[in-house]
Amino acid sequence: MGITLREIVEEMGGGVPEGEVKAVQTGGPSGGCIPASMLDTPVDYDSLKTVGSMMGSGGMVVMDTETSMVEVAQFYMEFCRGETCGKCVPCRTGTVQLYALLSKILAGQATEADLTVMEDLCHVVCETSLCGLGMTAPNPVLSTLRYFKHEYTDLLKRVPVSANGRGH
Amino acid sequence: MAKIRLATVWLAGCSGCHMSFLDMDEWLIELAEQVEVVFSPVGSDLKEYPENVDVCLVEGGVANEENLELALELRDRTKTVISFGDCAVTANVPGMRNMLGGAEPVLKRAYLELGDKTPQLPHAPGIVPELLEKVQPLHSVIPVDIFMPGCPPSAERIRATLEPLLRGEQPEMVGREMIKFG
Amino acid sequence: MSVVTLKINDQELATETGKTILEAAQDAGIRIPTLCHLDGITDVGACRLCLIELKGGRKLLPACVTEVAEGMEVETHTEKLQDYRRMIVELLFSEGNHVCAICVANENCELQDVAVEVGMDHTRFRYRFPDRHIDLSHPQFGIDHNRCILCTRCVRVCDEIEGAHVWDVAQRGAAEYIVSGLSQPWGEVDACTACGKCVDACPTGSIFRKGTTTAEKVGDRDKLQFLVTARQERQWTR
Ligand code: SF4
Ligand code: SF4
Ligand code: SF4
Ligand code: SF4
Ligand code: FES
Repeated sequence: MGITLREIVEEMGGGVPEGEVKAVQTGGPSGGCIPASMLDTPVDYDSLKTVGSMMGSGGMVVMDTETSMVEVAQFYMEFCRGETCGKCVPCRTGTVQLYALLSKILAGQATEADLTVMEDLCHVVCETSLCGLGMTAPNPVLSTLRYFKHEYTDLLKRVPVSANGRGH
Repeated sequence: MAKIRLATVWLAGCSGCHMSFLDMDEWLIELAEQVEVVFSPVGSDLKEYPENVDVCLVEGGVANEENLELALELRDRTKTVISFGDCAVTANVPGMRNMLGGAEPVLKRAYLELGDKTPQLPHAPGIVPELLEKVQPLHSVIPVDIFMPGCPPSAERIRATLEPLLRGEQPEMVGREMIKFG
Repeated sequence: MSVVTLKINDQELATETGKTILEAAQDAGIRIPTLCHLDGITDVGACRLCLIELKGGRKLLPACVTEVAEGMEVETHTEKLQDYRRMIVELLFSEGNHVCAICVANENCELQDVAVEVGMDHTRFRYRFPDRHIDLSHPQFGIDHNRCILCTRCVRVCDEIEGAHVWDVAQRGAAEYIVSGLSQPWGEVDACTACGKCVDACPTGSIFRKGTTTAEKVGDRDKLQFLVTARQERQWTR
């Protein structure tokens, strides 16, 4: 408690064998991804929360520069989609739709509008779900959107803008 | 002021929305004075979707390659696209085939299992458009500007949607009269 | 009985301790959208449509399971709540297979009504078009899972009012469904008294009386409420 992520990852863990650290995911499936630039964040409840992650299970996953953050988000969403108990609507169907939207982005089929809907849905699932599972399920998406938004926008479908100024 | 160029398009629907359009009765005469109908299965004989269309009512979901092509084309050439009726808005009845899984099981069911005389799958590339895997609502394939649910939307609802557009205003799609499904 | 005073949308109200925010609002004629709530049975807070904002509170609270407290200041229709409700309804429509035009409950469906109420004219989500089944094994009733929104009102009404506990929830998440008996066809469940309470309790066209066709199902929700008051307060006429 209280030592920095850098100390844990680089000194105690020896860093990434080849290449560089890109991000550290903390807190288990509903935690968040913290970018390498914030490795000096101390590992305690409040600090992790301010950077959009959490202590959670205490687990950590270190990712190198080869990792696609959108894939990471999709991976965790797949987990939550499978874990939702299904009692409340936002978590039961929100996780299914978040997973579908992430897959659509990864398939290069998504538009700017899809990205906006996905962000809105993250907030709805966080704020309206009944229990902690739903409330935290969108965290991996929100934190990767916060720090690695370009990885999402890079994957969006290039939209040919037509004469009337609208794309499709 | 130049007349508003109006089009209506019939994708995968039963034509009921167009019938409801015709149900606007004498208001159609008023409408005809204010717009130029440039493309419509019930109001013009053109086969090619024209350029510079102001308003287009699109009935039906997107079920086959021809529907998809026309949808993309009309989006390119139209200012205001309206999803006209539940099939366009939700895939509705044509979308019920999606529950069978994909195009193949649907064709097999319809043409082989239920074909009593000469069961055979239709295949005529270039003549019979291929089915898409799933029937989709219009807004899944192109951006849509106005949604007018209803199966079919009543003549009153259609009129209440078009009237403001003729005045250059946006219709207010709220309340039971305007947006109830079914 | 002690009195609690609170404000809902800036309207001052006096109500009794132990009431929920939803009840207090209903008494004052303030409508909050609901789906899983049904007068007369326990609340489960599952649909999340009745969420409200509390002044000074961080979290949104479900009005159907939150008790009133002295000095509360409740907002029921902020822009945020309206947006969130709309999205929840969009999620529900994308989850099942709702073809209103051919549904028994068309015109009398709470899901449809709520869609109008929150201004939902289309869903921004991809329809799942799930493969769900229909059980017509019961001599009098049927259940079409395509239209089920998993509100569990049927489960609760059958358990709490009829005392038969025919229904339950099976599986979870996207695979969740309402199950009869020990996963038997409904018609084979001996516990079912064929009272029809679940038909009236179901907010959608999912559970229906056989022989009703498009737009013919008219739920008698007051009947359930009547039964509850009848038993509790011994008033047997309505
Ligand atoms: S938030 Fe909790 S209660 Fe709601 S579905 Fe998810 S796991 Fe179940
Ligand atoms: S249950 Fe309601 S929303 Fe669903 S199809 Fe029937 S009328 Fe429409
Ligand atoms: S008919 Fe009555 S007993 Fe049978 S399942 Fe419905 S509520 Fe239960
Ligand atoms: S069958 Fe009807 S009452 Fe039962 S959970 Fe489904 S929608 Fe609710
Ligand atoms: S009515 Fe309160 S959560 Fe459904």
